[in-house]
Amino acid sequence: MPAPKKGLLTRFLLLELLKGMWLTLRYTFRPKVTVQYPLEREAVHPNYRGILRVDESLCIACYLCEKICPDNCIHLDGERGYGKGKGGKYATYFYIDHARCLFCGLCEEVCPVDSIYHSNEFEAAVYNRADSIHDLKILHSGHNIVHYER
Amino acid sequence: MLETKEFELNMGPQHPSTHGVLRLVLYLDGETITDCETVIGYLHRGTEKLCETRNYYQNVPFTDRTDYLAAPNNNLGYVEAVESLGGYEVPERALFARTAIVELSRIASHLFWLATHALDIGAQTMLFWCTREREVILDFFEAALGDRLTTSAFRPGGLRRELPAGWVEAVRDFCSSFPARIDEYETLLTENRIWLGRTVGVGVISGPDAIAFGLSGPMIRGSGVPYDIRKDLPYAAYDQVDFDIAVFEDGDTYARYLVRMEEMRQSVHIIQQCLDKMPAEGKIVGKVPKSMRIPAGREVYHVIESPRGEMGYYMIASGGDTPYKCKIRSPSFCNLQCIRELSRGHLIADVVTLIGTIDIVLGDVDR
Amino acid sequence: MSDFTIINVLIPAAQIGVILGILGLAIGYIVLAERKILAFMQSRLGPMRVGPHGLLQPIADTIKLLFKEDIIPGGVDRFIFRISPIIVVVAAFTTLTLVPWARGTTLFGYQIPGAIADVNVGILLILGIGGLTTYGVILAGWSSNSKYPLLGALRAAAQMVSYEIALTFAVLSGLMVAGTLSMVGIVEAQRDMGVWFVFLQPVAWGIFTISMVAETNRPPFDMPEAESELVGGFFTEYSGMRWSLFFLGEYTAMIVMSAVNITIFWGGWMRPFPNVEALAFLDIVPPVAWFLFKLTSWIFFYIWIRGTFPRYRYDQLMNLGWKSLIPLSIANLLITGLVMILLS
Repeated sequence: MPAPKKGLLTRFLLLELLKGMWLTLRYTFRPKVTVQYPLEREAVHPNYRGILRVDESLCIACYLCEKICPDNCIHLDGERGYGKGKGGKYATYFYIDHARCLFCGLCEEVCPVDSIYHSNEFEAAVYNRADSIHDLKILHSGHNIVHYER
Repeated sequence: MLETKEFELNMGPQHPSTHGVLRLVLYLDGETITDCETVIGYLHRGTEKLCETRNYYQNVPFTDRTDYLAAPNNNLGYVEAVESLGGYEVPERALFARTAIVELSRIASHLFWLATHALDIGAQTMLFWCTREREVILDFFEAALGDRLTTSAFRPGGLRRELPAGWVEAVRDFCSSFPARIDEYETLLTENRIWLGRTVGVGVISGPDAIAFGLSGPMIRGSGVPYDIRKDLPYAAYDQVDFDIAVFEDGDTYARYLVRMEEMRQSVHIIQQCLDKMPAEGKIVGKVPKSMRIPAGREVYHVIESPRGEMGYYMIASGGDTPYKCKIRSPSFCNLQCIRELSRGHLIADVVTLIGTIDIVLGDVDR
Repeated sequence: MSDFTIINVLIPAAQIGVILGILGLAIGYIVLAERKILAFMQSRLGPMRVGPHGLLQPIADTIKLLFKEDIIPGGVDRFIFRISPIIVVVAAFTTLTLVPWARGTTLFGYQIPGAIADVNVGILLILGIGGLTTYGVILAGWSSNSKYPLLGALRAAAQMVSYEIALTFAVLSGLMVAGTLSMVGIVEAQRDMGVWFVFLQPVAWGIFTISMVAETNRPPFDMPEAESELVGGFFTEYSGMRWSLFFLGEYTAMIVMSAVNITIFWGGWMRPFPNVEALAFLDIVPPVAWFLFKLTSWIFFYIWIRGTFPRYRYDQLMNLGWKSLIPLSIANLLITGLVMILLS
């Protein structure tokens, strides 16, 4: 499509430019959409795949999540025992490296007892690379998130 | 006579408007470009090789990360390739849901294209207006698919989960309000003489040339070739919805701009039809075995129309639950090769326009 | 200089102090206003963190810039690299002295002029000294020993020189009507004729407005620093205080150019329709407030077009300057001359 032809009047009066300027001027007084993030926090949808958590009491150490994980960031081992209040297998150790995690949700999907799940927390920044590896205790009770306060 | 020599300018990989880690070596005569050398590979992650060692389910998250601005499109291409490789059925409800999600992602991708393209040309306001609307779409993705950018939207056989309550109504609301936003963008750009000056006649490529270069998507439709896989080789539910292909003849940056603006309007139209035709009840995921063992030797090349063009997955089954080969034909990679031809004789400022109009995503180029 | 007294030195010195002091703060707040207004146009809030609604942001920015490490990259021409931001700032600040802020008054029996220096060739001085800014920009780009700044500097040289011509011709049309070169004299001529020159010379005003935006390197004519093409243009290699000197120069140039626009075309410190008695109640507002009001509007205009338009391309900018604005301004000058001969 060729550029729209313009008459002499529009050429000199810059009508289309003025139309644009009128639009931006109106926008100056419209409501704003900014969310002041650390101060205001929008709720994320419950479906959101945030930082992984594991419910220790449900885990049967079946290794399915370890197997399905596309980038091998889940490591666990378990043993058979009856000390945990519930018969069968339980996890003796469980590590998830959140620096490697893709947040794809495959482990959550594959878990037969819904032990591993994505929480709604998304603030996973750490000062130390080793801190991004969560062990069973952190996975069960959640990592320490300090919310910003003024 | 003074001796003159070519000025060699290295643009990127760290440059504000090469849209990632693209490196261009420009040979300049004054500000006019005599030659341009493209250097890619800074974002190569070996996705295709990774796909060979992961099973069919595990590969879905990797496809998110090729063209990360339109992740559901990549997911769809991959997932449909797997489905036709294994011969799995997809319920009708999932087909329509997929089509709607993919078109939403097309709008999101085009919005971000417009945002960055206009920003490169100096219209700063467009960046924020476009990302404002894109944010709404990303919220839909967050609710329905679980993530905003790297969605891992689909699984072989359908969707990963049921659409949340109220989602369809929210998308309908967005569809009814969004065309007015497009009009606003057009008020700022379409007739603006500066925008016309920057885009009309810049980077002209004729229809036959575009075909010879293997261009696809808005790049080829801007050159007057009505090639759209959604019409030519319908996938998902595209054969059941009614829409027009946006085609403009001029082959310049302005024509491609008009193509993409029109595509956004058509996408809104498609989404509305999908939501209307989608069965309210029914399964969202079909029957697919947990461990897919697809017989060795089966192969498939499945193409979809991603926002950037022809996105193809060539897959060969190994007999186990991993593909023997998964080749990704990415539109950005094929479209990028014409930048050398396009940029000759233009100015430095036009290179920025050209990178914008080709609409590359470096994750898609390098994979 | 027989009537030389110490007061002749003290009054301008005080004026310089007041203007520079206010200006230093004002530029900080113009930057804030720019960020805020742009944000509002873009559905954002802009700076909100430092002070209520970000009102202390300029102070925080200044402190940050002052305490940043002073980096001089290897391979630069150190002397020129250091001197060029100073040239820009000195040239910009010098032109400020010639701007008539208000009508001259008498305070405690002493004459206080409206401008710091009411030179009888004031407008020429402003254009002349303002033109020196170009040197600062070119030298900055050249001495950086880097390719992007060099391209930026070359663009700046071409752009500023060519728009200077259209600017001067547009100014000339105004001056012919006024019959004086003094900045104060131009405003007084508008008072005597009872009409702002924008109504007598609309074309010249239009040309001046476009050229003034181009002359100050502001969007949509920000070729020399086009960040999406040339990274940072001529000050790519600068950082910290030296970088902010360029910034200071740019914003001062904006103020001066707006002031010139107001003085020549918008009646300087005068209220609208200065000779209409019915509007005499507007005289309650002091002249300097009228001037500042007009200045603020022009600064808003600068920000407004930045928020609305894409950037011109280098060659289109040259075409616009040489093929449209300069012929138009010369034609306007000729017509002005003819009309003046016919009327006299």
